[in-house]
Order: sequence, then C-alpha cells, then structure tokens
Amino acid sequence: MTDDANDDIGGSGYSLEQLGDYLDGGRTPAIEAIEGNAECQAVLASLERFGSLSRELVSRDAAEHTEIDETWFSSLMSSITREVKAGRDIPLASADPLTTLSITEGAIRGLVRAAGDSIDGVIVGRCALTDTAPANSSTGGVAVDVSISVLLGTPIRAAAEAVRQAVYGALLKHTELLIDSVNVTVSDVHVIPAEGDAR
Amino acid sequence: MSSLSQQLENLVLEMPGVVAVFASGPLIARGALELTSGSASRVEVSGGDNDAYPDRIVVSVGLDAAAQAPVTATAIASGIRAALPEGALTEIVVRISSVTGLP
Repeated sequence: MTDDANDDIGGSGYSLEQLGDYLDGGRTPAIEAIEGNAECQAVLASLERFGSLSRELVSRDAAEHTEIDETWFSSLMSSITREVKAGRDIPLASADPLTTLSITEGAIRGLVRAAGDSIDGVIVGRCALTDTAPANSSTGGVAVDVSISVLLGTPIRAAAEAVRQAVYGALLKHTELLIDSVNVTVSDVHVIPAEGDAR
Repeated sequence: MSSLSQQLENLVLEMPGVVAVFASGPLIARGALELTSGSASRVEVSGGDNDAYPDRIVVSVGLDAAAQAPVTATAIASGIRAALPEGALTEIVVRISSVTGLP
C-alpha cells in the first residue's frame, strides 16, 4: 500500500484498509461515518465490484502466482482513493435561478470506473477527465482517458471499444458534459487464478 | 433547524432514484453541527429567521444509475421547494455525489 492508499477517505476518519475490513465484515454493525460519506461509498462500491479478484490478490496462495502483480493492485487502490475525492462541482442546468444543481467530479470518475468495470474481463486502472475548453471559454468539452487491464484471452480491441461505449453512454445519461473524446488505453493484461490453482 | 432538515432528508430519500443522502461536510464539521444544532440530519439547512424560511439548503445525494442524474437532481430540488412555504427565497443546492448500480 502506498501512503495515498492509507489516507483518511473523505474526512471519514477511516483508511482504505479499514474500509476493506468493514466490507469483509458485511458492513455490520453499520458505521455512520462510512455509510454517510460519499467518498467512502465510492471506495466500497469499487472494492465490491472486484471483490473476488482482490481477495485472490491479497491471499497468500495467490501471491505465489507470478502472474499476479501486487504493485499493480496497490497502484489500483491508490488510483481509486485519489479519484473518489469529490473535487469540483460540475454544474447541471437549472431553470430556477435560486437552485444550483451539480454532480461532483468524484461521482463522474466513479461513473466512468463503474462503466468500464461493467465490461466482462475488464478492470479499470485509472481514469481522468481533462478540460479541453480554451482558456476563458464558457463552453468546452472534456476528454476522458481510461486505462484498463484486460483478462487474458479477452479480445482486446472489442473490450476497449465496449468500455469506450459504456463510458460514453454513462456520461451522456448522467452528465451534461460535452464529451470531446473517450480514450481507452489497454495498459495491462491480468490473470485470475482458477480455483485450486494456487494450492 | 433540526425538524426541517430531518423532514427534508426523509423526503429526499423517498424520491425515485435516490439511494443515499450524504453529509455535506466532513465528519468533524458535522459533529460540531450536531452538537450546536442538535440535528443529526445530513441535509444542511442554514440561515433565516425560523425553520420555515431558511436561507440555504444543501443536500448531497447518491443516485441509482437507473435514474438520470440531471432529471433526478431537478426533481429533488422541486420536491424541496414544494416543502417550503410559497414565496420562500431559499437557495437550494443539490449535489450528486455518487451514481451507483450500473448494470
């Protein structure tokens, strides 16, 4: 784990490791500081999505697999804890001048990650949103960069295209961003040990 | 402010697509708020002379991915506005803090 990964998540007073333990304990008894914190919830959602893989990765048996790279896993955890930070409020249109609607940057990054992770055989490693608007422009789009790891044997081009479409669709549905591009980079290939392999 | 904020939290939680209401501020700030106002609600209600006419209401929510975030945010704001007395010049801030449950 890096220092990033051990940081207090969203001002909750809980670290990534503690959130992992909380998840493993079935989230009971419920801890208000975690359940009422958006950033903790985003981390828990990410951990749940690839829970089976993470359990394999941290288990002693799995560590014996040369295909499994714990550094990669730590780096992934660091990315997640960094990305869930609320960040800026991205405005949503409102007809009422006394009403301000927004979606946080952290929620959008979480959406991008969840969309990518929803594709079979894909784990999102890192995602970033970059403003493409010229300086001093009130309108302009964003470029979305997503790096993914693909399960060995998964058709890479098809997986990357499926991620691109899923991310684009999710952003179109939940944000009012002008999306200039969704760039998917396959940065890794992973292997999930078959049950009993490591024994 | 405690009764209004609790009432609004319940109202927001009952809205289609809303799966969570999150604390608007960090844990420490919220703890201090609870001590001073007695409110354990996650909806921030501030300012104004009395409970019915606050200056500002801030709510941070988590949505289910089946609901469209912009549409749901608008519905939440409208629901809160409808719960206030007619003509209340309250600023309403709705922040979507998470969208979960993508298929």
